[in-house]
Amino acid sequence: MAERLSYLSDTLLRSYSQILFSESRSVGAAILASSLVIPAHGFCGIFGGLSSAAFALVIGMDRIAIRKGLFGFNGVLTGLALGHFFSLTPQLLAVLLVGSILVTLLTILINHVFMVHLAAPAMSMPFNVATWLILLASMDFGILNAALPREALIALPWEPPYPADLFLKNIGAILFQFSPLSGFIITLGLLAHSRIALVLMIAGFLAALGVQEFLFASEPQWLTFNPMLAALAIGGVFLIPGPASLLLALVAAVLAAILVHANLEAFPQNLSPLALPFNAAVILIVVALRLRTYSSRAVQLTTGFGSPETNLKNAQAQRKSRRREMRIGVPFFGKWKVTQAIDGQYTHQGYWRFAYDFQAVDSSGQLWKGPGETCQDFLAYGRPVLAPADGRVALTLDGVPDNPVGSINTDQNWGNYCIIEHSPGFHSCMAHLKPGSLMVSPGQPVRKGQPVGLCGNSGRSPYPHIHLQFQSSAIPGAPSIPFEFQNLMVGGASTEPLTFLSHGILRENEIVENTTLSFDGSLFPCIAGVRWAYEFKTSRETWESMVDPIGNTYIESFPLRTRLYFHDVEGVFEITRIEGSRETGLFLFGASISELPNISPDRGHVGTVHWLASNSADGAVIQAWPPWIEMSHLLSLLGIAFQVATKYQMTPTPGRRHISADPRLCLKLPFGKLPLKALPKKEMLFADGAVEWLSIEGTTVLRRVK
Amino acid sequence: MKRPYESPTISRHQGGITNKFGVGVSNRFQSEIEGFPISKLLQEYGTPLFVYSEKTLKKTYREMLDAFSLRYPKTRHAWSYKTNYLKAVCRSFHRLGSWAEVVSGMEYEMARANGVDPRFIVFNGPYKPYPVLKRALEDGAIVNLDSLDEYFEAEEIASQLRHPVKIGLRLNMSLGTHMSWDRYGFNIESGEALAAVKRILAGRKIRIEGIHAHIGTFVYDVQNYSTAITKLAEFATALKRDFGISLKYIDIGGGFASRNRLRGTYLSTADMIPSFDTYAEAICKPLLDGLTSVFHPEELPTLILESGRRMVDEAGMLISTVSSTKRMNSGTRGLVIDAGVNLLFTSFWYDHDVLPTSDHGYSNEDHVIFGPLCMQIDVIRPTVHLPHLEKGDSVIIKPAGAYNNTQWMQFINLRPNVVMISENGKVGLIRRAEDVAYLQERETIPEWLNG
Ligand SMILES: Cc1ncc(COP(=O)(O)O)c(C=O)c1O
Repeated sequence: MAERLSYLSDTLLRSYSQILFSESRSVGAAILASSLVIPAHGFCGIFGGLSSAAFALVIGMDRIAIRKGLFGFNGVLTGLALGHFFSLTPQLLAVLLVGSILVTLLTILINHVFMVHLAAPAMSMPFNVATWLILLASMDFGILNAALPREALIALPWEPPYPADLFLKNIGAILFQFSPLSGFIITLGLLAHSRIALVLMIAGFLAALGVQEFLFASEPQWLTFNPMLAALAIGGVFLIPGPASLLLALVAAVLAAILVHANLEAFPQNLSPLALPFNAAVILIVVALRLRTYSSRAVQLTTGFGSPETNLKNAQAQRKSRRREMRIGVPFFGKWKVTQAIDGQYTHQGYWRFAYDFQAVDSSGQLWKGPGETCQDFLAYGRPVLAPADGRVALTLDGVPDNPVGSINTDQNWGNYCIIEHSPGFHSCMAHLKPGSLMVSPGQPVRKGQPVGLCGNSGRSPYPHIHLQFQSSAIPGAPSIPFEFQNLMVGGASTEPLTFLSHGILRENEIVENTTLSFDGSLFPCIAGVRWAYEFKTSRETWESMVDPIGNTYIESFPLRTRLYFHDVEGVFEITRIEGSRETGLFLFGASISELPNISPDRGHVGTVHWLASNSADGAVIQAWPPWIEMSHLLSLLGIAFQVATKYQMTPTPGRRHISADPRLCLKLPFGKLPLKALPKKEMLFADGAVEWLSIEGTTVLRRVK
Repeated sequence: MKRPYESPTISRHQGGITNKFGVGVSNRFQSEIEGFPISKLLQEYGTPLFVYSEKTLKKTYREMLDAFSLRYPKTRHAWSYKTNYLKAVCRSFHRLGSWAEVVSGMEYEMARANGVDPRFIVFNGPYKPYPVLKRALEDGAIVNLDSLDEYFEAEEIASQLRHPVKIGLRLNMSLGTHMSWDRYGFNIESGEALAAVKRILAGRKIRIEGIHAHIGTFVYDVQNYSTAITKLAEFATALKRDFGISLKYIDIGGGFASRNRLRGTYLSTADMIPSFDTYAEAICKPLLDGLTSVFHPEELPTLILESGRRMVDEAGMLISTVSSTKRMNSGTRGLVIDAGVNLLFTSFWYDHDVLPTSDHGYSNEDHVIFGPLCMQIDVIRPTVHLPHLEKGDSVIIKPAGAYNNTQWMQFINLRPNVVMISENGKVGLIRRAEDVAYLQERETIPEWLNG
């Protein structure tokens, strides 16, 4: 019973909060409350929301999605729209019931089409279409009475000054209530829930106001909520909040404002564009961003939306999952030296600046054995050349002979090559292959790490080496484009400490090791159901590894519950998100580490490994963080943030890995990083596929019990 | 500098079977090991003395790993305990990343005591008594089964365990010219191996994680490796295609020839012994080619190497001292030294390099070197060119790191000190010379002989 009630209340409240892209019950409650300023009108919203959710439930849609309000919110909006145009009668309820069913069906269809074909959210498009259809049909219904004007009923006790009054009215207008009072209630809810969201709405509002002042004479009545929602969606929901996202949010707001005016002209007198301008502006931008080649700015979130603040917290995780979509590796097995990097002095210039040359190297740093006078003397010669990422072979050339060492062939610059298309406009090119060694042909799908040919000395190549570049087309010699590698080990000869590079570019003379394929197994053998017992401070704690229905892997602690979400790809354990109690050892562990390469002698890696990681500084990283820091998230809109930069060092011995973490609080500014203060050092030991102990400043606080 | 005095000798003219390479003229000698004077080592640790060089061991390991890791993404070395199970030697390998390869309960316990995680212990061999097999399977070690009888026991053990039991299969195959070791494991060509797989699948209790072959030892024709690995890759492909078994490892065993000379061959070692690159190319290319059609790059099985003698032979040396000299009836000069086949078991099949530890000039003659035992077979070198050594002079015998410190025996004499010279020049005693009390420690006298 209690379970059903909570399902019902979740469904209802989130049907309201989703209107502002939130799953927070309190935001939902505020919106619901504000809609009840005119009870009859508000009732139409509740009726629409519940009946569309109920219909979705009856026909067997995903119960979790329903509970998140993803079906209800279009119903709420439809109910509020019809309740706005008509007065509440039994006939209206009948029509509304039909409208709710219609909007649910439309939600299913439009969401599906948008997701599959545009990879973009449909937002309130189903509501637009359903409401237009019902409104058009209602012109033939004799039974619905037009509603009476009711603005007079719902004034605030005091009159806010311009343009605050306009702002509040437009927030109310999202619910078809043109009253500052409902706007005020929603604004309060929003303030409690997300300051960034509120700032974005205000920014969108001001942008729209500017457009109106400078471009248009006539006032667009109440439709300014469109630019406001557009700014919120782009600036805080679909993109990670930041300066670039803020700029795009303003673009979206301006676009939406112009669309409002365009639509007002295009739509028949008695139809309103509703939320179409906002939907269209957001979809335009989201689709364009999704199809771009470089996505280092205005980074898109790919999964679950929280408040913009939460999204920001998850930004690190999101960056990782974005990496996971295309993890670019090096095109060889083993250790190779970067003999020419980006902007290299020999040939990596102009159009071809973003390129790398690699030559195989042995542990003593030698590139060849013997006199080095023939290709065969070079370690690189004849070694497999690999696809750097998944893709499809676009073009290959074979038959160009290898040059004798020291001479080059400038007629066929690239020699034998293999060009792979990884995504539209993103191709890799591996050149100077050995004649007769190509193992793939155009059209063939290839996997990351799959051999495509052998390293040779054909084309403009005085010594056997691999030339790698990414380019926007499949034409050999097309201009190069920048890219980052993921999950590499960088260092000198094998005795020197290595650096684990989770992502980044390489520099000349660095020796790089391909570890993505040689790592096997994971640090945590996180087959669902594995358990570990711990003593944390003075209490007992159990950890269990689990998989949720969507396939997210996490570790959960008991009895105090913390959830640590992680990825385990290419032998790198990455913590993506921490939820729940902050009083557990699991929380402490998760807050102490962000990524952990699974290096050990057993896996073929000896010697100390270093790496650096930066995380946004919030409660998840530092405990006892002052509450006002949450407000500092607002600064992130300007590219300013508190971060924790941690230096890690791992020393593996057979079966054991000792890790020390040296964290430092920094202020990240748009032009650099300002170190603020050192945070407590942590150390931990991994053995037997688990955390053995963890200490802070030398005091052991977490210990495994067997 | 004053040249050392060389006493005149009269040697018989040898006009008979001439060696077509002629007799080299040289004054080869070695007075230091990694910069450490041998005379000082002898002074401190006595004679005879085994010496290991950590530097050589590491260099060899890195050469091996360099060669394989450029050609195949996942190569692991499992240190073959039987080759040398001195703790310091094993731990040196484990430090470098080697797993352990054991063939008995005794070796298994040694590996555990050296701190090797059981998941990285490869358990091979034709003899795994029930309790030993049970312990290894319980621990989650990598157990390669040798016969169906062993499988039946494993199945019984599996039914008592709660966690899933994983095994590998030792396979053997025909290699054409090379005499393959066919007494171990299941034969591929006859269909025996496939039948075993079907039986195991039908049993449902045990997962097949890998396949293993060890085609022999001192294999210097690398074509044999290509043939063997091609067959293993075909087998792995068939398992994946026909039964959906995605193997985690393919173990090609050991057998790489070390830089020693097999008795009775004339070629000098450097000409005949393939480099790691040659072995790696012979193994990795057919392996990768054979697997890519059905294995995605990230799921390629781990290639396990169990190379023993090649990895450690050169790192180990035996220093021995001349205790007497004699002229044989044939006219050949004879040396009796204080280390014989009791310590240098491998002299049964190798012609080790024997060098004086100081400069004795250019005048060489044929010698025969005897050990100290009272047995006609105790011969270290039947014939070797050496300068004129006298009682008290010492020689270094190498490579001697493989199989000697496991197969040596306390026959007639006790076993001497073993030291290791660390990479940074420290000398550590890694096995103390034995004494009679140690040798008799386990002995008891039945009461009727007491008093
Ligand atoms: C199964 C197995 N693996 C590895 C080895 C080591 O062989 P090697 O020293 O010839 O490399 C042996 C030796 O007999 C063996 O039987």
